[in-house]
Amino acid sequence: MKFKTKRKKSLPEISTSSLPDIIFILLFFFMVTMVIKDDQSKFQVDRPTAVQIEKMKHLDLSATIWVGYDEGQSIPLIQFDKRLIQVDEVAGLIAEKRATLPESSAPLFTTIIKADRELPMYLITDIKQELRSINALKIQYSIQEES
Amino acid sequence: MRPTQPNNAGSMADIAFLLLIFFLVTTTIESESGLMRKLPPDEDSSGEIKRRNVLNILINNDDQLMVNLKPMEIDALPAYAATFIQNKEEKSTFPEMELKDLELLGETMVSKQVISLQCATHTSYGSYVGVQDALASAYRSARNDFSEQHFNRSFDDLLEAKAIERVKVVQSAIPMRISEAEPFK
Repeated sequence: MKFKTKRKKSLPEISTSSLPDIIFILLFFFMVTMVIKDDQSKFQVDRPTAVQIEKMKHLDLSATIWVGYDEGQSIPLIQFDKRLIQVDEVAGLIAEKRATLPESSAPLFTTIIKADRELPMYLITDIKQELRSINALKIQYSIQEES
Repeated sequence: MRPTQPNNAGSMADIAFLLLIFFLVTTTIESESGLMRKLPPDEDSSGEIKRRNVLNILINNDDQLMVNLKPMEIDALPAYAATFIQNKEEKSTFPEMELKDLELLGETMVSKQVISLQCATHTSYGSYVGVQDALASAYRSARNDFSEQHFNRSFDDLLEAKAIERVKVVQSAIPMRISEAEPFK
């Protein structure tokens, strides 16, 4: 009996050299599109919750004010642009920020207030008065999204 | 020298997919959500408003509510405010009705409602936002009602369908009028 020596039929190999390129393209794509959050507050802010919420459309036309407490402290702190400020500085800083935008989009400018739910209202009212004084009338009370 | 063995390509594709899925899961599109409000201009011309047209809401230092001089729980506020805003039964303690010339609908009866919200100095911000939220849902249900009555579709539907003309009519029929007074001591 004669045995036929079975030879493995070899498929033509697929070239793998392009696959790392694809991975790199993907990696770069996501690296470019990812937004690095840099608007963290220096203190804990426990924002309130709400149901009737709206999503903000023009994030680039906004400025964020953080209001909260340092851990274990009872003196409220206000933060704007990575530094702590006093209430009476709000108007000037927001006006400065708004001035960097094109004039046509100034009416769309929104101030996002990220405040702690335990804060007393007089402080929030003071901030709102500051904003009214420079005619920055659009505000958003930021809320904690349930995840 | 041995010829170099071509390495297997199948696993490389898997790695690419893993990376893709990893980034898809970890990247979140940043969005800010909250309650949008517009502050009144600085030179506020607060004309006299008739008492019956105003729903007075007070929040005291202990975060308790007082609505038109009666204590109320926050859960009851949306329904009460919605009936106040519409005043369908034309109660004498609720706002006056007036004929307003609206686009698409012509002259329509709408109420002259205003909601006044006043806090104490040490009212907590959380309960203030809670009341704002309750009022927003009151306006929403009032608008839904109005819209269903006149357009046979809810306001939410109109918003979803981006029927801007009709949305504007409903908004001008039931404008969100929340005035905020200075906090009291």
